[in-house]
Amino acid sequence: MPIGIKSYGAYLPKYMLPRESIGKAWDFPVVPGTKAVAMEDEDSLTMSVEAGLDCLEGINPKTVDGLFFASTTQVYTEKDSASLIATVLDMREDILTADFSDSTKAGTTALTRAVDTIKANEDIKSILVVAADTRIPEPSTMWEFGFADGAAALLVADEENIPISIDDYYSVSANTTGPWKRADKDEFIRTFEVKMDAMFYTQSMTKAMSELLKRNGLKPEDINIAAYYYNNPRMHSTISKIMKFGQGVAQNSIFFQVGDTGTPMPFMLLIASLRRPKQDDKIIMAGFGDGADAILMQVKDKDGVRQIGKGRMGFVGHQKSMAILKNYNKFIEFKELLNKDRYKRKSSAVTLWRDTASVYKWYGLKCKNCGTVQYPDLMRTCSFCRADDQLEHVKLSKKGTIFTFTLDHLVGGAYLNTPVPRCVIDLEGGGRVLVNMTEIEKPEENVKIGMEVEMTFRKEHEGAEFKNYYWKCRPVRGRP
Amino acid sequence: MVRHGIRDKVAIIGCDMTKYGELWDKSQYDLLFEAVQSATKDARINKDEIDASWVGIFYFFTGLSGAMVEDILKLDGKPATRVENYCASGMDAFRKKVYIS
Repeated sequence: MPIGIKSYGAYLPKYMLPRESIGKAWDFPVVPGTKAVAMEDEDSLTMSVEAGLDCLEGINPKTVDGLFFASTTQVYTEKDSASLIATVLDMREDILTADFSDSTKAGTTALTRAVDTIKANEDIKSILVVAADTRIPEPSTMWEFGFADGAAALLVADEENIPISIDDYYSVSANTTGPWKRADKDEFIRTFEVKMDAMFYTQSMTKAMSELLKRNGLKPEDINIAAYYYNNPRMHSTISKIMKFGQGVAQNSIFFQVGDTGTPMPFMLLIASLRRPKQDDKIIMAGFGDGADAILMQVKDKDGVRQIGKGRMGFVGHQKSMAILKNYNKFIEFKELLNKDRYKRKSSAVTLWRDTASVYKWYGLKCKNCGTVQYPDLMRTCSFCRADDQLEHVKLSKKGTIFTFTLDHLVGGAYLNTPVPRCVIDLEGGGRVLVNMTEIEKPEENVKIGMEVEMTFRKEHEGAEFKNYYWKCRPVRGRP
Repeated sequence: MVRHGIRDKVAIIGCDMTKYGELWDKSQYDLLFEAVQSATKDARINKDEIDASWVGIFYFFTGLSGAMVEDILKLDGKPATRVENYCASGMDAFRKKVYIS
């Protein structure tokens, strides 16, 4: 059976920062466009959960046999993220998980490894590949105009009627002069000489794509969609010219509004290009970072591709629900670049592990006696009919309405984005939960009883020098 | 109170305890539930026949109340008192209960 892409998903944070405000902050020449900026409660892991949820919309997570996570901004250097993402997505435990890191081509590398793994193992039929990055640029450098945050996910599967087939790939490895970030010393990404970086980029990218075309007997004009990584628009058109791609083939929809998202960028370019799929379109996707991967794909079923697009937010759904970040200082706060002394909260890794079902997988309890859905899942007695040991796990909805709320001006002592609305949410299908709200401006005016909200997986705090994740609610962005 | 004695006025009708150990998979709530469940079984009474509760908890937080027991056992509306006296919290909760009532 053909291996290919069964589903896709994307995530873009709520806010985009106009490049104009960066220019104004540092007296730099004004550069047009905006870039996507994650909030202080988001990182590569939480954004991957969002992209994964988007990708698995309408697909049972228990049917997926593996999860590969790709990022240059891993949240731990020892402790893998793939297993936590798989847990939050409520996948099985007898699956394959792995992290791919240290290069912006980690996404395409993870994708090609997924293809090989499925090919080599009869038991492994599908792998979810998620890529995310939150690269923090050094303030007042040119990186600041480019580096942006986001995530994308592709579900690779071996099954009949796959909408997009993955036919071949070709990789090159090259030890380049930059960019780099030392694991032990650097807070920000450095580079030696951008012109040399550009030379390596051009060489690796064109080499990987040309060789892939050559060994498949294809000419540049046979390619209908080219989704390759780029970190500045000029380099994008240079590659297109060298490759002799036809007009409109090379996808450039992302940089202007979203920016250089790093590892997930080739996936995002692909996803954005699939809005109006044509039957038998040939696609080339490529990632770059100390070498390059080029992947050849083809639209096998255009209606199937369109069907994927209908059921999820994807790239465009997120893009449409973004808002402008009016203030440059807010961006500095989001990235915690001002070293304010913050109150440290308590935490217990053991408690988190024990409460995995409620805290990560978002399960509540349903009483077999009276049918009431309740949360958290820590009880043995029903809150309503008081029956003992009649409660069974039930998956909670990620949508609900505000039953009541309060505005907390002192929450966690962070004094960041305060007041924080602490909301009691009545979930669709039952269950009442207490969660904080994120992505809300002027909560005094905008939080209302009866307001509809969506649940989103976020970083709650870093008590006990450990990353504590939990669900929050946000105003509706349109998740199905 | 002690001078008057409590003979024939107070009786222990059931008791039990949980397993001891590093029970990573159980919270203090789980242990409390288990102990109460087996003690009521030992006394051959129904949970609903409990009229009031005293609980001894020594925990890092302040601001805990006796309502914790009510919350776990769902004994809503029944009086509940929490006693804290360091490691003697449990024994003291028991002593308070038998001498006060």
